[in-house]
Amino acid sequence: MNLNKKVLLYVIRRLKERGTFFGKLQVMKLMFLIDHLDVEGKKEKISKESFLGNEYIIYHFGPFSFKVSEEYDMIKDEELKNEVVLDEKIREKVDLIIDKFGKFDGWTLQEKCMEMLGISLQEKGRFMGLKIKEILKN
Amino acid sequence: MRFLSFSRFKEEYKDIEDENIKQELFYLSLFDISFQDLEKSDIMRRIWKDVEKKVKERISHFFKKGIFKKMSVDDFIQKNVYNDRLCKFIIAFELEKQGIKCGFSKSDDLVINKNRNIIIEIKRVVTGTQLDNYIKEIEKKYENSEKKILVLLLFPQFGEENYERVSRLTEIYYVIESYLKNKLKNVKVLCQYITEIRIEEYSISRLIERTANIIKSLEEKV
Repeated sequence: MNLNKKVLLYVIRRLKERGTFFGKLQVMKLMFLIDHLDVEGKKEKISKESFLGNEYIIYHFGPFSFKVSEEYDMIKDEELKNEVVLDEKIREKVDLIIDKFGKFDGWTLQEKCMEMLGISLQEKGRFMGLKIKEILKN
Repeated sequence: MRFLSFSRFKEEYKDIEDENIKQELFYLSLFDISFQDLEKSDIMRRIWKDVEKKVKERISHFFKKGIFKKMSVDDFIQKNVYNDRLCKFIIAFELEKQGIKCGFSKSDDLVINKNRNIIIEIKRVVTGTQLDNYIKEIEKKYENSEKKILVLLLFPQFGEENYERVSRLTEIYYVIESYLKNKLKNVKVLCQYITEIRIEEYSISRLIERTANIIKSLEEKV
């Protein structure tokens, strides 16, 4: 099983345990934060580097990854029954993101992600279709 | 090339005369791939996969090959189709043919050039959840604006749905317009259902005719 799928299964399982699983939009944004939120520094910021290696593009509903989307759609219910073990470093970050952002639904997370990227509602149209790396370069 | 420019788009699009081809291209421009993140059912997600496949297979047929020398078809779709760029350009081009000069604001909104005080806010809608979010977003975006806002809610035919029935369900502009009128100063809402294969009532030409009429009435309004 590849790392992406493992993380996805882990995230969905944890959200379900907490009773705050709202669906794919929410999971996509959490995956974005796992990938791009820099939690090492004093201030949280979006980093150019991707922690799990996924690439995101801004669309109407915020950061979207074709790879994550595809992996999410292939998850079968029975796969969610088994416990997933992640490497400690990865688990730490994933847990941190879930603890902090797992209570929000997809739409709220979308707004938070755009805020972290410094993109206002008025400017959104200008950034739609751009990759995270392209946005952070400017 | 990062994004297709309006002038480059015009060069490509001006030679398309067949209304059926225009309809198909416009229909394909009505999908934002991130919409599928809202879907909870497998059936809806499957339809999204079909849409994705269709866009990928068809889109390159509408443009001259040169455009894909600098960027792959996938990149082109990601940068110009799934965001609302292509859809906006088609609408702007067709409005200009009706004598309505169009331009784009710094934030890439479609504006009517006469005095730049009319903004066309285009929203592509597949599900009710989306519509709900769009309305909240429009409310927030223009809450203190003096501009005249024309909201185009475009509903593309999705999967095997019965277009006659669904198109009737999508004519809910009067509800949305009444709601938004309580929140914003100057707003008009137009809902248009768009079929994949051209049917006059649900076509790009019908949309342009209706949009042009509203723009004229907004221009006259002080």
